[in-house]
Amino acid sequence: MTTDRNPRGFAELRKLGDDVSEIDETAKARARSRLNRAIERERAASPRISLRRSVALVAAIVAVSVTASLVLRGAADLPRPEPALLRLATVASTQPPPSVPAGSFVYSSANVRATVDSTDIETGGEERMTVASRRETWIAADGSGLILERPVPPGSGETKRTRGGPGALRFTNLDQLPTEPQALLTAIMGSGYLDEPDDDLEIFAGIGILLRDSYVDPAHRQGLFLIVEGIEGVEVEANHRDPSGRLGTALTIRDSTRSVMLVFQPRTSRLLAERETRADGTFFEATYLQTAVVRAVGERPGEPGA
Amino acid sequence: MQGRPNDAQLISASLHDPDLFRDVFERHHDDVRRYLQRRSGADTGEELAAQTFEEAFRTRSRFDPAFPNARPWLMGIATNLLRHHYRAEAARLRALERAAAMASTVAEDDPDARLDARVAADSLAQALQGMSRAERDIVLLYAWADLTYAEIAHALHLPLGTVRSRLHRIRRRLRELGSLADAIDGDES
Repeated sequence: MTTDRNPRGFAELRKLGDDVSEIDETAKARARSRLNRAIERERAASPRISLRRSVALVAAIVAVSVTASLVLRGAADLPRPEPALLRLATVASTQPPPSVPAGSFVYSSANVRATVDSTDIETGGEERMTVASRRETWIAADGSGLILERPVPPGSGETKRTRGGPGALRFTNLDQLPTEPQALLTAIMGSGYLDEPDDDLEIFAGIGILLRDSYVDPAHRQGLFLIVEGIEGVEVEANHRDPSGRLGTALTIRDSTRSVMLVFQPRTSRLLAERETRADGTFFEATYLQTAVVRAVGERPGEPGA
Repeated sequence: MQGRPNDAQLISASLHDPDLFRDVFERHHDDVRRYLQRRSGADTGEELAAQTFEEAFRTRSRFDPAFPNARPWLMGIATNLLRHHYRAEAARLRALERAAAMASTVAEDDPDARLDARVAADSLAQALQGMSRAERDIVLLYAWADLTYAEIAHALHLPLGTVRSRLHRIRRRLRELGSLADAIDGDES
């Protein structure tokens, strides 16, 4: 067994990638200038603390064993808490606790739309189109189940079925994690729930994925909303209509490359819709229609036996 | 700091003196750019290499100083950035497939060797296109970024055993392509 670099390994594969150009000093100088600008921006930045840096600061504080108290907000120069987000957090905490009995499955359905780019191999021409599908999932607490994605309208594409045994599909379970927002954030960043986010936008998007699962227990959903409440740059829009025409509270964060919007139902804190729009005009959009516990894969709420 | 500081020392010190991060750029930019251009083509690779160092600078407080070499961390950031450029990577793989076939057509005198080389190159390019993103990240960090298994695990935040088992599966699948047997001999984990 070896974990050393092995120049003989994947020799053909290495050759396949050997056509890259030699170092272009002009390009390298451009990259160097961009880094220099980033360094200068940091020097000029205000002392305002971002959520991402607050987590690093917590780690540093722990490392040097300094007793200190750091909360997501609290410094005098930070914005006031967003009432709509606090309301969502409170509503989340008052929802009935979930029950997913052994042997049952969480069923959910969603309408999905996304842009797809394709390239004609012969001509090199690119075409962009919007594709739609209906996605249904049946996932048990052990991570087994089925994801069924059918094209809309029927026949306009392939139906995809993804079956998985235990552990194959994602079933969010935060039971073992703390509920206090700062501790919860540190926990989900350190244990793979957020897929190693690089910035606040990715933290926001990752938490949206966790909040999508309405079966997560109320205390943790409240904690997740309070984390979002502490993220800088989150825009709140009350009375936003999702693609199905439902009114919700829209939370949006954006940077120079993309924006991510999550729409929640104020009465239940349930995620109604999400949309990611990228600077190149492409987008992904999902509208969540129904979530329920059913007894078998393939069974839908309201059907006989459900 | 005694002698030439390692990357971890530089990055830690750059939290107080950001200028020190410039040395990290000088040490690793060429490798990062080469890896990204292999995966996404010349223009996108150049752009992403610049973005990688901007992002690395911005997130340097999260660098784990237990790792003296920043290369795996930088390759991990580069690989993450590639996620938003899947079209460029797909186009690059198709271009590699076409270029490999064309090169083997003109490079070999022996028609059998020419055919073998073309089949191997075509198959490899197709196999790469057919892999999941997670698999392609692992195999190309190994083959094109020259990372060890442990470094790949660090770059992608995966358990070492996961990297080993996935590379093992990929190797087995490539073997099934038959003509690639020679290309993968000697890779045992």
